[in-house]
Amino acid sequence: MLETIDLSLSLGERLVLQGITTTLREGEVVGILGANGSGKSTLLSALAGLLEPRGGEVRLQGRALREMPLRERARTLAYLPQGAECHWPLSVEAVVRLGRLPFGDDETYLVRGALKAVDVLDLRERIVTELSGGERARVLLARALVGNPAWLLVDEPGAGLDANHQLALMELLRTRARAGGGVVVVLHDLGLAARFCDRLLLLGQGRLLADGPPREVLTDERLRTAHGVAVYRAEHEGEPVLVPWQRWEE
Amino acid sequence: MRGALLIPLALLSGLSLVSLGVGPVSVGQLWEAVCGKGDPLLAFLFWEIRVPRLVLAWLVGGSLGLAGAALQGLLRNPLVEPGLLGVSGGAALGAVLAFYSGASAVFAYALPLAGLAGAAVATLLVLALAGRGGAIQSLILAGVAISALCGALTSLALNLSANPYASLEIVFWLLGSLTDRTWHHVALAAPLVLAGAALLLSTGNALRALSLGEPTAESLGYRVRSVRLRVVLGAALAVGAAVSVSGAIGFVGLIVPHLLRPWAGGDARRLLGLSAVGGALLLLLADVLVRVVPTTQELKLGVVTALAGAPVFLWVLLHNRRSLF
Repeated sequence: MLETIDLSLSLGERLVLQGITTTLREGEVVGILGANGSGKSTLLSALAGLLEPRGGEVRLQGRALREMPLRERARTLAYLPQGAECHWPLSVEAVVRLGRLPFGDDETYLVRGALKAVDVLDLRERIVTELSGGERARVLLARALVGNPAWLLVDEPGAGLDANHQLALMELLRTRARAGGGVVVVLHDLGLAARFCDRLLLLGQGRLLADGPPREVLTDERLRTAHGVAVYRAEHEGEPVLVPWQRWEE
Repeated sequence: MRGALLIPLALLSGLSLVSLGVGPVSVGQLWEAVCGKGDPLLAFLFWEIRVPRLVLAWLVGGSLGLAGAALQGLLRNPLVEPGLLGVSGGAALGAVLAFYSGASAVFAYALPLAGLAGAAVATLLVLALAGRGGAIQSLILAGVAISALCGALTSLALNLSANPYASLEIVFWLLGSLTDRTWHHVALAAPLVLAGAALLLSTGNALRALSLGEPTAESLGYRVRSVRLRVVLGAALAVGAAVSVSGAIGFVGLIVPHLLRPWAGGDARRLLGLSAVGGALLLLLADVLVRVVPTTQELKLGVVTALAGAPVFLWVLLHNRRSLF
């Protein structure tokens, strides 16, 4: 269980999040939605324990996250920031091995397993800085998966992925959640959010506007106010289809 | 494979010890002297001049290579070198002030001690200027500013120096050398160099994690702020102590990690050890060159490392450019 209690956070002088209270449970894919600058990435970093709250706190399994030993936190919770990069010409396998640092080992079968899960096993000897953006994004996701964390927090992992790999990614997140893992993902794609998330947190100007299952959160009115769009809705094979259709200007 | 650099280092170390340069001396004669049975002058030359000079070459070169690798890993920039933090500039300024005030003429170790003090002041100033949050950007900017200030004050001391011989002495000292150093210099530098090296080597895994950026490194359980402090203090201790006994020696800290990075497979921790050995090897090579190249004036170490370093650096640059385009 990962919870925030009246969490507020500022970056410099600017208050970025205020009064966020929510409880996230394992077994659900939780999506964080909101327009640009609404505080999505900041909330995810706070959930990962990387930012000092200005008020309130984040608790993991009932314990204050900021007081947890760093290594234990790193073993429990994997975080993949937005637009993550590798700064040196490491091999794909070496990058994924970095995900084993909190464990003090680099078991080859775990590394290979993580590479396989995101379909980059063939690339394992390539240099990561020479891969395409989408391939690199998958390698970095494998780095987050290799510790088999109880909680996986990923910030826009689908950016730069082709349609096939976007769907594969969302299915992977769903599979992890079904197996009892905790999954929190920041998303921009309303369609993927509507279809693959079990629960959505909708942010607007640093506040939690809505928190619940997609059909309750993604109402026309909320999408108009939070995202400034009107959407087209349908259903296909029993799952919701949601496409942003036109900009909404009051 | 990883220890392969130790072989040329050992060979070159042996060569630098054996080639005494005091007329024809056979290996047998030298061996007797070293064991205390032969010519006492030869034994003195060996134990009191050659061995400390070799040890200093290891310490100074190793410090520069190791600090360069750690700083490049911390700042994730292959163009960073220890001089960027203002440590070398501070040490040089301290030493120049010791010359200028005449303290170095009165007390032989005033020079390295003033160098150490200069390095310490420069490092503390850079850390204070970079602030507690200490973003990488502010650290670099503070280092550049303090380096520039130290450089300007060093020039001012040269400019105002009444005695042209003193100016010449300052300039020569600034060019770097291991000539006429004794065990006292080793004793002064070694503890600080070793403490600095231990601090730098302790950051190996954190620097590996930092290859993926600061947020990821934090999420992997490393406190970036503490890593930054350990690297800056470690580099300041090792390089400050090294520069204080040898004078300013450029390029080693820049080029050694750069050359060895492909060998380390981009692994920041492996690069630390490799660069320490590589730095020692390069400096020893330069020191052997200084002794064997026949010149009327003694060639200075910093001149040789820069003369050899710049073309190698250009070659690396052009090589990388070809692979980029």
